[in-house]
Amino acid sequence: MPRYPALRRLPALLRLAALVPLAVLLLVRPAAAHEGHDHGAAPEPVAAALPRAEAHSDLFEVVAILQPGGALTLTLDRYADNSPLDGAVTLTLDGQEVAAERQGIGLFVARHPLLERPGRLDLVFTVTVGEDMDLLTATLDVPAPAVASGTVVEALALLRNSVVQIGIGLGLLVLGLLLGRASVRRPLPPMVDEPPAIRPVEALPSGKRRAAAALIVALTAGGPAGAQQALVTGEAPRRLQDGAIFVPKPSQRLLGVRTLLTEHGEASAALRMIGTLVPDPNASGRVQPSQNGRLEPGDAGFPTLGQRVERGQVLAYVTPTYSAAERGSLIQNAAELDAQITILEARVRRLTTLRGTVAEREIQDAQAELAGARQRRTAIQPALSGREPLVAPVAGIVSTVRGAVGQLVDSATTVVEIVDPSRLWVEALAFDRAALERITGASATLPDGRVLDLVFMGRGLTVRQQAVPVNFRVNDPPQDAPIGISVLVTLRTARAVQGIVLPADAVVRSAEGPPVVFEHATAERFVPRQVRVQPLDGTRVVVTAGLDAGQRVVVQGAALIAQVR
Amino acid sequence: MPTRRTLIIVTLLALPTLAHPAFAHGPSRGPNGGQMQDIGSYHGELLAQDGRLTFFLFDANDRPLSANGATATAIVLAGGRQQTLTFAPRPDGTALVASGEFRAEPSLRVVVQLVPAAGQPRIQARYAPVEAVR
Repeated sequence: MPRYPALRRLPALLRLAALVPLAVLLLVRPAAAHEGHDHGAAPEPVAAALPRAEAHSDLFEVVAILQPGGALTLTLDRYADNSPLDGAVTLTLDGQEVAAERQGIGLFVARHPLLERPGRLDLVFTVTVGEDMDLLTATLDVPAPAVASGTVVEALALLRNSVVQIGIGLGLLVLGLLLGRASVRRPLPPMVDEPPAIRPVEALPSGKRRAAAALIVALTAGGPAGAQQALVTGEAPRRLQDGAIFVPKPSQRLLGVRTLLTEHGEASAALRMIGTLVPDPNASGRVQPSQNGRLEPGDAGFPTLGQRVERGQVLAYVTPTYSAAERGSLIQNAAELDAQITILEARVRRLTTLRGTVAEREIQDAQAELAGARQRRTAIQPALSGREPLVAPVAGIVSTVRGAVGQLVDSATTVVEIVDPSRLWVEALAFDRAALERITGASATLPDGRVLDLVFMGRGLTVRQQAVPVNFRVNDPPQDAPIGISVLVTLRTARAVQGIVLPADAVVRSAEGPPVVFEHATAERFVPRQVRVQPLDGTRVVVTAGLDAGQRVVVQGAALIAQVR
Repeated sequence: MPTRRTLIIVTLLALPTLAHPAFAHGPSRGPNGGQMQDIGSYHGELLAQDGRLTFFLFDANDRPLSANGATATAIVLAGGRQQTLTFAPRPDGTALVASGEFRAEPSLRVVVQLVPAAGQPRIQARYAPVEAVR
């Protein structure tokens, strides 16, 4: 009683075939529910977006979005910088005034029976913000709720279009499922008749597979419909076919998109180079022993990182270490000197008792000789038992400690480095020597984005790596400035550049490479504009080509808009 | 030649902005001294004097059209007050006239809602007819 797998597969296929039209039906309904067409003059409407209208004057920008259910959501923003405005909006529909209910800052909801009637609707917004009042006009296309009404031809074209696409997709899915089933390893016809051993093993995966197939069909039928639903209510930002980016007003509020009205200006040209944050040479120092020896803690213990030390403070001691031969000769010298001193002392005593009979010169010679011997003995003494104090050369903070108590160090090893964090310099290499002649100011940008003000101190005359070393003093450095880190130094020169000054955040790298800024073309469309930029300082750039005055450019949230796919 | 390239780039980038409908007909002065705006497929000129609005209708090529048969209303925002006025044709048929209580100030905003002829859909345009003195 072997059952052929092909026969068992048949019901699953039938079920699949029945599900395909069902899925198509499910998918078609929401796709055809909106008619994606607007009046001619406005920019092409975004497919699958809610019906909307926008209006702006030189003060305000109003976007009206017709929510499913007939509520009209209004957003009110300042035209120039896109910040939400708290005010009041009154709507005039066919001569009837409808007050919009305030839902939050710059967010209103209006309801009216006219908003549920399909067709073109002329809207007049009366906006009041403080002392400012304005009248704005817009036209809203209220879509027909059913499939059949509206522009039939376009709806049909849309329907056919989506059906074709969905049909192709489902056809490919079925093909894939069939191929997958066909390529499943089949058990070889049993040489030995052992059906009970094989059947349960084979039956389980088959059932699993069928469940998986049903699940996939259910997902394809339900998935896109669900996604469509989410798009309609959630309205995700997306990139349009012409390269512009559609960002609905609610998303703009979420991303904190702010704009700036561009205007021509003049700025001083800047030059950029890489520098390093170094300590001020007059406020930093190293502690090094002058001889080989063993490290011992100072009076206040061994120095630790971050410890504040005063100038002249003993940080550690170095006890000299000698080889056996050195020590032997030292002890020998000391013994010899001790013996000599004893002899000389006796001689001086004897000569002084004989004062008057011996020459005065002889007594003085003996005394000088004794003093000399004693001095030599004193000089040897530290070598025998003394230790060398390591003294802080400047006041500051212990920046590095290389060594431990008891460690043997060579002479000229840097044991401790001391830095005054309130006095830092930047050392940079300038490759363009001519530009250095007319420096008017400088700033440094830390890797974390903080900008430090710099004062030009001087430059070397000897080139290093074909570049001129330049030194700057950091004005008021932050306490946690990391010493030795690379910084971007921006030099302002006296040369003037004409262009549009923007914050550096406004310029983002496009996927293609060249820098772009996003123009706020209409209320919810952002158009990338390729620009040529020159740095000004750490936070600003100047756009020399690609932008005109009077355009709205995104200065905050540009990086987030660039990520919209 | 960086300057020539700059020029070309600027021109190319400026073209789409010029083609943009919002900039195609910026607010300009009409032959009667009022503000010109697009209204539907027509052009309309609104002249505002104290207490009096005069509306002239032109076709897309700025040729004057008769105002007979056209009906229009104006929503006027002046001095913090909104009112709706109804236009009536001037006896000579060259313009529509409406009168109300307002002063011709730079803050004056007028929305004209026009039915050019019976049976045609209503069209509207927004005017700031009085320019601020610079």
